[in-house]
Amino acid sequence: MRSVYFKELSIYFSSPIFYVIAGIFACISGIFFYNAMGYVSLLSTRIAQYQPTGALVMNDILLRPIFADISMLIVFIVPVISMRLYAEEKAQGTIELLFTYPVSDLKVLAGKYLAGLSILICMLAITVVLMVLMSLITTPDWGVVLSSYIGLVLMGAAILSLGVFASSLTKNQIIAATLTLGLVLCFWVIGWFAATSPDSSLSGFLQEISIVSHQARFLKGLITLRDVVFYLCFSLFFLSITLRVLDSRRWRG
Amino acid sequence: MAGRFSYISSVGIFVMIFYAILVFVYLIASNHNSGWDLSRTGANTLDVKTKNVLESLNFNVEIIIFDKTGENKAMEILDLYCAESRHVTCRIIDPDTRPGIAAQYGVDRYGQGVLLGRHRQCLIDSVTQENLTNAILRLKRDKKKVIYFVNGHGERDIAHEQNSGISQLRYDLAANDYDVFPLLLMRYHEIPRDADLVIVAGPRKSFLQEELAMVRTYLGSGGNMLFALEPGGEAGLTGVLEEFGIVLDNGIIVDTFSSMAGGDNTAPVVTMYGDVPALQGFSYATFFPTSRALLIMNDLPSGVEVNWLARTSDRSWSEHDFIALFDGLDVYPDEHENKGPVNVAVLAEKELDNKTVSSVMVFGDVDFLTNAYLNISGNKDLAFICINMLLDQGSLITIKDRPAQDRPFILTPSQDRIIFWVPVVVIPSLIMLVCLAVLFIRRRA
Repeated sequence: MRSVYFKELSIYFSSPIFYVIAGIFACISGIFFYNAMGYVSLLSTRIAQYQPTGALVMNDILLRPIFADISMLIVFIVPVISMRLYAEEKAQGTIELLFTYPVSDLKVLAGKYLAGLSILICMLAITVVLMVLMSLITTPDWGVVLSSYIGLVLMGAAILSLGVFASSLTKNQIIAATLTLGLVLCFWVIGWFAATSPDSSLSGFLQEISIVSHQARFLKGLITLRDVVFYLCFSLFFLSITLRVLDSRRWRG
Repeated sequence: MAGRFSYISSVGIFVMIFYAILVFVYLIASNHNSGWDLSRTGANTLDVKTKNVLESLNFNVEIIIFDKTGENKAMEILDLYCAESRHVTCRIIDPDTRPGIAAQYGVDRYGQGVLLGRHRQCLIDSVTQENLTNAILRLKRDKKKVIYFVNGHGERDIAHEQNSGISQLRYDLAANDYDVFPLLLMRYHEIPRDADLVIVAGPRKSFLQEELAMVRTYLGSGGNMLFALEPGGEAGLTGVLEEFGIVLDNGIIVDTFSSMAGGDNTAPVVTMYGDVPALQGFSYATFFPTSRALLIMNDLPSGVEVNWLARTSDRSWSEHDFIALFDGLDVYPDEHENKGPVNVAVLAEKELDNKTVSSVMVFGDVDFLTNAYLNISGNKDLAFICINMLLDQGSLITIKDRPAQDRPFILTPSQDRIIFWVPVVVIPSLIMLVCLAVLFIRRRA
């Protein structure tokens, strides 16, 4: 597993795609950060005019919007990270070689998945600079920052599992990325349908399986067992399906 | 072929068991109330008093909030209640799309809510932890609170449906889980023992000595009374009120600065409320047509504490020249007249020998309780807060909302440049430089 993990990491770091994605991710999250800081500054100006002793809840107006924007970026970034994991091997014909290694499918999958997750964490680490910059101007609630990052990593891990699954279905990386994005958006907007009929039991079910409804509590600084278990179960579910897809070669012949 | 089928079957069974375990684990976790609130202010944690109330809850409570659905601050608080107790369920209903349900519970404003439990209901004006928890406490009471409205002295009638009646107040009190009865004092030897509150709403005739004795006995045993006394309608209660440190002014409040639109200066609009916990955050305007001023004695009787609850503006005064006032002549505050701000509502509490507390609340007006004015602006809210204040003494809890603590900041030009250039330009450029370096190294290798 370790060899697969390091091999995947070295491929990522030696490929320009990773740097391009990371650069775009850093730039766009920087723009979100700048806009949020500018908005709070403008709000502060108004407060200074009309309510000189007023205070703000920075968690609500600064941290939460920034992390919500970053989580939206993750939805678009993760499919690009995950698209090559199996699709590239299939396109290059190296997947058969991989199957002949004295390593189980589970270990290969774990190696690839953890490599993708490490890349995602690397990208999120770039945004720590934003928090450092913020701390030079105001005092962020580090507890909320920490829980937001935990939430982003867990959500990213869940989306990555979807991406690995999509990548195992096709040898075309574009199709894999598009399929991942489509599936993620389905799990994202499913919560919106729940809001249209809040009283029905279907609505409760949709809320439960929506990715975004579980993210909301992390962004408020609240880590619940329910949300953590949801993301872990979600990831395990799609990773196990991926394993079955890989395993299907045995009975398909 | 049989081997392949056997393999697929065993894999299928394994997969089904695995997925069932995942669902089972998630269901257990979702019913398990474990969480860590990492926020600095503990904004996602219920107050310990609320937790204690919820822990001892042994019946189901449904909380319905009438507001716009979607991302909602109210829902964040409700989520905490639902997570804390399996007996609590919450939902938000848009009163615009389901006006029938809103009307059913007497809701007429966004943000109001109703708590249902034990076949009772309790209306709350806004979603705060204090309101929700106190409403649950009211539902937990084993018996309904009993309110008597005294009659027989020309008081406003709780059965009278016209503008001058107070039938609407009776309906609203009944809807909020109170038992409401009329009380003809002359028929009794004492005020009924089950009375939690006795209201005297606008008497026109004086109380008999026997009735005053009943009132004194009731108050002396820790009873609570609310008097709404119009100018000229003392009803012989002056002595009783003075025992609680309250003096009735005999004028009519005139407010040249803040009076009801379309009315004259004798309908003051009140926006100043006293520093008592129940009125914290109450900011609605209230109207008191033809109101009298209430004075607080300088030397209070022993054991008595008096707080003002509502006051007129500082441009008001208590006018004693009724003839000039009602003839439409210009009136001005004379030296002997009390100048504003003047009290239109006060609360007196007397600590009795047996350490119980007797409370007397006085309003200088009864019109604000009538069908004509009750639903105007914050009149009903104030009436309910005050009635609840008298009924709930000692039984409810106070929970301070956590205030916003973060200081605002205004970006300086240099800060503005830094927070733009560093994350938007410098860091992405550095990443691209690393990318070029990697490509260069790969090409050379």
